[in-house]
Amino acid sequence: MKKYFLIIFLIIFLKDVTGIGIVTNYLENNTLQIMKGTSTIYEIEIQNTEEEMKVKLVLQSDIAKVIDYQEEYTLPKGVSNTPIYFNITTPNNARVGDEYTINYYVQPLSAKGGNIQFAIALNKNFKVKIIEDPNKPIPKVHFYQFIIAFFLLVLFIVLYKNYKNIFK
Amino acid sequence: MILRIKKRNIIILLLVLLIVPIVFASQVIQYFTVLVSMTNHEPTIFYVNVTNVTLVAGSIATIDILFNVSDSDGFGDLNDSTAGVNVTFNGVSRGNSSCNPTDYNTNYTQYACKVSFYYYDNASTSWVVNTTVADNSGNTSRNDTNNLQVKSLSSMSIVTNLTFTSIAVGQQDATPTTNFMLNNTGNFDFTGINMTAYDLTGVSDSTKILGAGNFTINTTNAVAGSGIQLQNGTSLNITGATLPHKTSASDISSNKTIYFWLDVPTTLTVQNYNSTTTWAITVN
Repeated sequence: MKKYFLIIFLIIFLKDVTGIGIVTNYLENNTLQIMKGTSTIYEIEIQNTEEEMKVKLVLQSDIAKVIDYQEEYTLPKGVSNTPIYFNITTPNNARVGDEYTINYYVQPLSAKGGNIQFAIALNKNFKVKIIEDPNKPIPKVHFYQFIIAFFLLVLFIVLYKNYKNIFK
Repeated sequence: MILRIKKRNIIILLLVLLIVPIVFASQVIQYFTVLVSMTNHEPTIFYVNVTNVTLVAGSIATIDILFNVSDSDGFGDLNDSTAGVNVTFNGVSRGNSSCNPTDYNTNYTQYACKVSFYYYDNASTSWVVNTTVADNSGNTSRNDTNNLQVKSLSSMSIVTNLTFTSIAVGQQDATPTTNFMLNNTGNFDFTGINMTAYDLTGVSDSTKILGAGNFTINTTNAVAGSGIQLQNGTSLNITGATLPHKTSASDISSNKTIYFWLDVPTTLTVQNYNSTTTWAITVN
């Protein structure tokens, strides 16, 4: 009796199983700068170069949300770029210089293959940095603030000179 | 003998020394007229229209760059064959020396130039657009005041199939008939590759399971069977696996071969085995 039996074992990963890509604007140091107290729209495009395909998008961030989120996105056949927009809002307690990381990934829902279904997932991230509004006006000191400060100074001097008499 | 010089004489002498050169100098000034006869006007590139470049994975993306030229001698004086555009960044150049002219009025022509970018061209907002055209007298006009952006493209594909055939039950370190190769088809450098595998189930007898843990992978092929042992439903980083983008047409660093080995348990039966869940390669 044979110790081993021959098995017909066929596993195929098909060529170019997924043709998806993610297109984004170039970010210096992979960092998006947002002015404190504001929000902005960030665009990604999912690129398909093959047959029609369904993909899912997962966004992991406390400060960003997908606008008009869909459980699955259908990418048209051929070379196509499907735009998706993130609404990024700076937190109320954010300070200038704070940085946040936004993670997201895109994965095909319809995979191809032989015995093993195979898919490629693209995992991406970028940073958001809070910056000061360069056009923010320098706060003005009003005249009445000068007056108040002057009288407080006078009051302080008077109290200082006469504290022994006052607290006798 | 004592020389006595009067103060008055000294003053007179100084005045003479001062006045004489001025008087004579005024006599040697010559006036002449320069007459330049302008018979030709140089062309002027006064407007350049550029768009951002969205690359196409593993392929070529072509954009139109338009620029408008005026020439006081009329558009007929422009030498259309000299119109061209060159877009450069970090020593890489993409251009076209054959542009299509459209004459709008007697002194104004617009050139449309198609420029192609490869999928691996660097992402940047600093690609410099240099347009040029000359007239029939050889006077050349250039404009390099515009930049364009090549966007970031993260994309990957599987180049070759992975096939195991005719593997004996109990066989150790079985290798596929072809190696499994990934290809970076964009301009983004992937710094990590993860693999998520799932158990295979027998097609005829679903009680037989070929566990994901029977697969081992690495990127070095140094020792048969060495590397990472896959785990059912677990994303595992492939040690040392990166996938940089191509830097030139001849660069092959954007390809990464992943070597597979399979140990077939003796408890399995002869049949096909399928995965009921999609395996995943995640790049980041």
